[in-house]
This record gives sequence, C-alpha cells and structure tokens, in this order.
Amino acid sequence: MTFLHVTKRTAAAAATAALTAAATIMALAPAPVLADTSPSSATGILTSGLGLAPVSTVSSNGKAEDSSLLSTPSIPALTASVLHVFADGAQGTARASAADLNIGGSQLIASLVTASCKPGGGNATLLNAIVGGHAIPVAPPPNTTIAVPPGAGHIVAITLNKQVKNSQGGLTVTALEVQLGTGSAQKTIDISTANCAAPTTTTAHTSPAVPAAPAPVPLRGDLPVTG
Amino acid sequence: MPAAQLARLPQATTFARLHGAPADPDPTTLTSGLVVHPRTTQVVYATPGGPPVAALPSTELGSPTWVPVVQSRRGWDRVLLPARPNHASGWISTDGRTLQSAETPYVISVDLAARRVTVLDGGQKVGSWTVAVGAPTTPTPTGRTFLMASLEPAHPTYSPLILPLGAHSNTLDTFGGGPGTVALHGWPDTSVFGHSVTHGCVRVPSAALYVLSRIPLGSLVLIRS
Repeated sequence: MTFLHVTKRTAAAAATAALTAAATIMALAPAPVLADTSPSSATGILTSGLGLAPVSTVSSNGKAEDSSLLSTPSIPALTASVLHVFADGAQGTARASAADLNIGGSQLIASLVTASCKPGGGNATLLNAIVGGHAIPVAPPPNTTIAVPPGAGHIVAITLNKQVKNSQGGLTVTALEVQLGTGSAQKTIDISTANCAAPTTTTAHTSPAVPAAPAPVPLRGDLPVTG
Repeated sequence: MPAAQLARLPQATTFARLHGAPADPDPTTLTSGLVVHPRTTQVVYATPGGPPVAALPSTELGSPTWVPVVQSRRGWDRVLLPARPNHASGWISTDGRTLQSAETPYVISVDLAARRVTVLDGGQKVGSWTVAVGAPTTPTPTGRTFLMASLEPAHPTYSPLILPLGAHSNTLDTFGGGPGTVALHGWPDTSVFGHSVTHGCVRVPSAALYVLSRIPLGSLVLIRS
C-alpha cells in the first residue's frame, strides 16, 4: 500500500496551482467528471457552475493511493480544515473525508463528512452536521434529500449519501451534495465523493487480506485516570 | 539495534514523556483502520531510518499493544504513541515478522461541545450516547488518539471497566497518583451525563461502555471540541 502524504506547504502550493489551472480548464473543457469505467477514485470537493477544478483527488488502477490536504483553497464561502482521499483500484475501494466543513458562513457546518465505497456497496457519514440550525442525520440512507430549513441562505437543495451505479458495475457515493441557486444560476458543490470501480485484480493476485483486529480481553488491573 | 542501546531508549508508555517524537500530522483525520501489534519491543524513529526516539513495548498496562497506523511508506509505518506529549507519533520498521497487522472498522467520535460519544462501524453508526466530558479547567484533550487498554479493576469504585486512551490531560501532569491518562469509563451517577464536569476522562452510560468494551484496541478515537 502506497501512501502519499502532502505536507502543509506543498498542499498550499498544490491548491494554488489547482485554482490557477481552474480558469484555464474552465475555458477549454467541461468540468471533469468522475470516470465511468475505472479507475477507483476519491475527491474532496467537486463543484459545477463555479469554474473550479476538483480539490484533492486521487485515483488508482492498481495500488492504493492516499492524500491529505491540510487546508482548503479559497473557494468562496467554503472552508474545511482537512481533506483526506484514498483509492485502491486493486480492491475497488475508495474513501473521501472532509473535516470541519463550513459552507456559506455557517449556513451548513459539519465536523466530518465521509463517503466510502467498496465492491457491493457504499455509505456516507456526517458527524455533527447542521444546516440552518437543524441537525442532519449521521448515517443517512442512500439518496436522502432533506428539506432546506429557513436560515440556510443560498442553499436550495441538499442530497445526502448520493449513490449512482455506473454501467461497469462501479458505484459513486457523494456524502453531501449542496445545490445553490436554480435554473441557469444553479451551482452544485459535492463534498467527499468516493468512486469505486470493479476491482482490477482478482483476490488470488492481491496480497493476503489483513485480518480483522481482535476484540479486547479485559485484564484485571487498574490505573488512576482523570476520572 | 543492540539490546543495550534499545534498553536506553524511553519506553513509549502512558507513563512516559517523549522528546523528539514528531506530532501526528493529521490529528483530525480518519485513518485506513490499519492497526499494528509489535510482537517484540520496536524501536520508534523520528523519521524512517532517522534518529530513534523511543521503544514501543509489546504490552501496555498488560494488554497487548495495538497502535493505529496514520501514515505508511515502503518498509515503514507511522503510528500514534501512548506517551506524552499528546499527538506523539513515530515510525517503526515493517521489515521482518515482528509486527502483526490487522484492520479495525471502528471509530469512536467524541464531540465535546455536544457531550456525545458516537461509535461507527465501517462508517455506520452503531450507537450514540450523551456523556460527561472534561470541565472547563480540566478539559478533555482534543485530537486523534486510540483505545490503549482494557482494565477491570479488582475493586471497582466507579466503573467495572476502564478503557485508557493514548491521550493525557493537558492541564494535569498527574491525577490520583497516575500520569493523567484520559480514559473512557462508566459512572454510577447518571446525572453527570450531558455536563462538562470531569478531570479529563469521558464518563459514559453503561450501554455505551458495553459497546466500547468490544471495540479492538488501537481503534481510533477522534475527540473534537
């Protein structure tokens, strides 16, 4: 398993480069979309209508790739402290997380927004998520839409745990899709998207599976802790 | 490393304060769920192949040592350590057969503001409970830590089970004769739940303690303000 760790300095540089490139990409090509045919991939922030390139993306046709971005670029009215993305094309798994999310000046906040998928399914988790002062379910069923409460500002629609199956047997899970505006003014922000293609290798060709960690066995003993 | 040199390194336990151990690079992020158990004492390095900073023993408080992997490179795992300062981490070699690897699907989320513990299994909520957390003068430390041990006191006074974490109070160097270790445990007076009243520990209802008692050691505990 290969991990790519992005330091704060390089993350900031990458983010700046991504934003600089965004204007060019916007003029030359439609916004990138997650591939329908593999590889497995994960994206921290994916927008449409805002002219921004995807933020924090990894993709993998084989060995696992992993990246952390310690601060988000200056997307208008959107902040997150950490974006973590992971994709393993060999296993057909992916995961994307955004921590300390804040959209629209606290119109929507969440401690952690995670999407993950694997062969056979996917899920989304939203910890301490609040929109317009109302709590969002922690583990919503697939394709849950919620009524946008007053106080949510420009947010007009929210979809939780959006799941889309593709023709190749893969699955794309977006933990949180936020729609801003309607009609020609419509923009969307996807937070934490995991895209799992069908595994590229068979079990026989992969390294031995890591076993499940054992349940603990309590030991007779004591430690004065900070009760 | 020669045994004599290994013996001179500070033991990465809840009783130690390490110097030179790098801080956890992403203290608010989930990990892959990979945890490792050293079958024998492991040298902990500040960087892969860099200066040694500690020795990680095969047991912590009698329980087998299981620590979460927060970063990996070829031949090396970066793990969280149970010693002070909070967020201490270090690199251990994965060469040889002295490390046992496993995966845990569990994450324990502690929301201090909401005074709530949520247990996730593979991203799915298993349960969520209102709890008691550290008082304003002795707050529960935030960040990423892990379940370090599972202890059954012979003569329990407030909880039948103590689950020490790899974290310590930032305001108390010692407490009750111990090193200020933060733990998850029960509490007989249920009126404390929902309040910030402890010396740093997280007091949980018995239903939560039952679920927590079955979560593998090394599993991640994310404590947020």
